[in-house]
Amino acid sequence: MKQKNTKLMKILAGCLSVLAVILILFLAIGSCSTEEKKNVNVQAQAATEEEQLNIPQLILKIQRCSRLYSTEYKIHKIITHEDQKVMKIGSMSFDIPLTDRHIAIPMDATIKAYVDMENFSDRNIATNGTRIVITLPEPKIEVTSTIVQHDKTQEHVAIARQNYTAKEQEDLHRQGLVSITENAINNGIIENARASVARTLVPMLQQMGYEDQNIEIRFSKQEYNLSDLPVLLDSKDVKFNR
Amino acid sequence: MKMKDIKDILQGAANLLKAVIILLALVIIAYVIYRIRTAETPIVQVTTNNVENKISLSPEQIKSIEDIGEWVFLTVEAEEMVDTVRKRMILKDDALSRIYVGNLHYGIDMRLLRGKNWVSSHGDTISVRMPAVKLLDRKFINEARTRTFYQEGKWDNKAMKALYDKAQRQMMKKYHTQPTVNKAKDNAREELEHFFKSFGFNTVQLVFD
Repeated sequence: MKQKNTKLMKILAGCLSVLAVILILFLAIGSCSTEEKKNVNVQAQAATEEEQLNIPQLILKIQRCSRLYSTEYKIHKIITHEDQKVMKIGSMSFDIPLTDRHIAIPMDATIKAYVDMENFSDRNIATNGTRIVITLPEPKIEVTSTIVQHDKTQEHVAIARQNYTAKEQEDLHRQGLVSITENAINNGIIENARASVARTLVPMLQQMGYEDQNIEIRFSKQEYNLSDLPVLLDSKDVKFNR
Repeated sequence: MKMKDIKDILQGAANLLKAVIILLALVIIAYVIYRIRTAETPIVQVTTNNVENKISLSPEQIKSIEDIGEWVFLTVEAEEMVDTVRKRMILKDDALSRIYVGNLHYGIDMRLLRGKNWVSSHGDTISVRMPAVKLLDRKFINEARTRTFYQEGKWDNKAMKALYDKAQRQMMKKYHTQPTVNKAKDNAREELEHFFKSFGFNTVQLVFD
């Protein structure tokens, strides 16, 4: 009787162990398949992106226009970035030694402000014979050139980190560009553009027979702030998070 | 009940307890694995202290502010893919491929007219002498808009500069052509005639240097 009991208990323990192993396998397979599904999704997404990347749209667009670029700002900026790996356990975080990176990228940018003359017509001109008033659309700005000074770029990467990749650096360049453009606005590029357009057009109107004091150049919008930046800046790849 | 019977029962109970403990331990391990694999935010996470990858605040230096007076009549929006390969003896070759973006502006430089009488009018006719239509700025690549298409291996700043120069040369060769200049000149003529006619002149005599 007692031997039977012991046997029964041994069998029961064995069954429980087998059950536990099955349960673990089931959970592991289940979570793996979830992981696999996630991986498949990520791979599919990556494949789509890769397909898009594999067909680079090398655009050649010839655009007829009539733009009077009046002011040019040449700006130099040193873009700096640093980061370090940290380990987060719950709400605590610790810096991981030998994982810091620093980079300083000098960049030169040329920003020009222009007035779009494409739709200029007699409706922009008011004259009474001796006096002339010309109303122009608001100036816009364009980043016409940026040059990264690769030879002066300085990088410090700790032993446990990888160097900044070209893609990472590009992201930093774009952020630098946004900052440069915002500062050009703050430094009065639009106001300078208005004055400069007048300095270009007034001598021409004088040569057409108008007296200096009878010439007035007006602009359709008077005040700008940074929220106008996306409208003012004709750039496709620079995103403003405002 | 004999001593041996009691021992057997205790032995059985101990075995059962062991089985229960092992089962519990396995269930806990399985649960932890399950949580780690399915948790939206991992329990242990290695990340950077600059998650948004933001650049540090640094001042900018305005090197110059200049009145330019460039009247642009044609813009060529160009993209150019350039690459470089570094051969390796055993391992896979290193390669870097980047797409550069540039806008070539064609038009007239009004600065060349300063101090000159370039406009004269007689009745309803206006005579205008303009400088030649040309590529206004040879620094036309916007390197901050460059996209890296493919990178294998480490590439230093010298390689980046060489790629920039190559892109500049290729864009000049491909897009800066006589037909482009002619097209810009035709558009300049059309636009300037329209501009001066807006002032009431019926005839515009326009000459380019």
